[in-house]
Amino acid sequence: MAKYVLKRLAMMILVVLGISFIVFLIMNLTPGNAAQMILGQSANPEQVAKLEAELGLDQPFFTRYFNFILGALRGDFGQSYQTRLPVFDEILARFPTTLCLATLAMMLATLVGVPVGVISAIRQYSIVDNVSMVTAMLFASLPSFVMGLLLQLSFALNLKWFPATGADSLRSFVLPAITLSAGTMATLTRMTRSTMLEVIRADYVRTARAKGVGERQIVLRHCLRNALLPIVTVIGVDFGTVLGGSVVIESVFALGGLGTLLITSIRMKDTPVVMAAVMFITVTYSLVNLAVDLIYAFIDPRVKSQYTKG
Amino acid sequence: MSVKENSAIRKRSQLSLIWHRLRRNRLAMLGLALMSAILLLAVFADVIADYDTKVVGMNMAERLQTPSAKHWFGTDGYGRDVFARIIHGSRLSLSLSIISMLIAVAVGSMIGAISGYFGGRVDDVLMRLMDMLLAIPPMLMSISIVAALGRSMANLMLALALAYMPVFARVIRSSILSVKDQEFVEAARACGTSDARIILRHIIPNAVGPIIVQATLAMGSSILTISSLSFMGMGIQPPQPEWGTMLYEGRDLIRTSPYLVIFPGAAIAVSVLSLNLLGDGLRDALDPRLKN
Repeated sequence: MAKYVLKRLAMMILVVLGISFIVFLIMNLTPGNAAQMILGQSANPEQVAKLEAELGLDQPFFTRYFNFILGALRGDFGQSYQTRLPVFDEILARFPTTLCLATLAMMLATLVGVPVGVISAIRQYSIVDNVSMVTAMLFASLPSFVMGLLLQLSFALNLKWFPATGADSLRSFVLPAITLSAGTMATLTRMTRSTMLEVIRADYVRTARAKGVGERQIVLRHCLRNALLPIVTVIGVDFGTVLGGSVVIESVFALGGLGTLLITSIRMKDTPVVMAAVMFITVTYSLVNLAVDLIYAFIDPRVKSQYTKG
Repeated sequence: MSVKENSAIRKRSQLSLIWHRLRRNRLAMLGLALMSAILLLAVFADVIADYDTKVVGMNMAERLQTPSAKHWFGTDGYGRDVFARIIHGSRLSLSLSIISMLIAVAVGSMIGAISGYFGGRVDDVLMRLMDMLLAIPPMLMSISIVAALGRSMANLMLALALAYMPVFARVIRSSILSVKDQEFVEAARACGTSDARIILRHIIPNAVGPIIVQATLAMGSSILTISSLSFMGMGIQPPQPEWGTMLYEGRDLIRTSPYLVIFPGAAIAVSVLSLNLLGDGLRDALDPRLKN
């Protein structure tokens, strides 16, 4: 088991390094001179060259990448072009909001999606099943920001149950979290239903029933446990979608998380902040997937045995 | 000659079998009908509403009118007809997502085919690279590329193609792994067929089914990404009638004129829904386990 964890950790470090290289490469494709951009068009060539040397922009690409990685390891992501403050501090201040939003959305999606999926599978073709499948289809097709705008209009602006914007209390997270969870909730419901349907018809379930095991036990212990793997996979994969989606939803509800920081920094062409924000979100996603892979090994004896033997 | 005829007959029967199965799926047919209708509206957009006068031309005298017989979906803050803008918007969304998916499929298939066919070191390197690309959420990837390269339609397409390419590489690779050791590939190799020809003529056709399913679903998801980017001001720029751009412009007027958000939102939802229904149906129709 320890071997598996180590192997998986090594792989993650490699992937994170690769991602950082891709992101660094993309950000360096930006046309135009960064130093010129900071100083404005009026700056003379000497000033630009001086700032370039100061920021290390005159170095070759790989040297800059290497320096970026060395700095990042020490928690130094450089300074913002705009505010001249350390990027890391700003990211750290914003990160909890995004993480909180994404986690809430994911929890909501799981707590609603999985039970509804299970019930739909048990009562296949019933009214409950049909209604939840149609709803899931609609949720999967409606863009999250449209749903956000509509929820904002009805529950914040008209009914005034929740604040429309800002992140002052937990109440401010209710509407954004619901909005963000819709897509994943739909995927989870559909996924749970279809795996449960496959499992329900399996021989061992019939055997359990023949033995006289209670229906509750059959559903929870025999079916759901086996349907858990694909469910956990969806949760892992969709965490990325939710993190990406939070960039959009944060701007709808004016939550001051990484997403809004990312968008304003892009408008200001503040490359170090953009890079750090993208890196942070992607690394979080990789960590979640690492956790998912470890949970796999935990819940699936087949995966576990592969590594305990070797 | 007779071999050729035989294979032609077999191919047709295979296709008609799939079509037969698809036709029995009511939801899939609904998706197909909706998508066809949207495509027709996109093709004949100019006949339905003139671009210069109704879609981008402003008419302050008729601004913010609620839906009526004259303006089915009302008018926006510049007096432009929302219905006409949505119809013309379908051109942008559909063409952008179709072109970027074609690029993603072409490049992704090549990478997946090379990876699966040659295996070993090549496979390792290419697949780790795809893993890294997949580890960046599509939305973030698109945002980064558009942020770095600037806002233009070409960059948007590039961003989408790059974000969705790894998925296709994976699909093709797994299809190839399942057919590459079969006898017909060995036979082709024994005849002295080149690697490139084996991949293009013998292996890729076997992976067409899963690719079409994946492309249909990815097209829906790319329409969502395009509109999200435009909504954040990083995709299609006003005054072009992209759906996300319309939502961006209508957002501040949501309290007084909610229809400015509802209609473009519904347009996105209906197109994505139809692609999802069609994609799901195609998946079932192509699934040999669900035959009959």
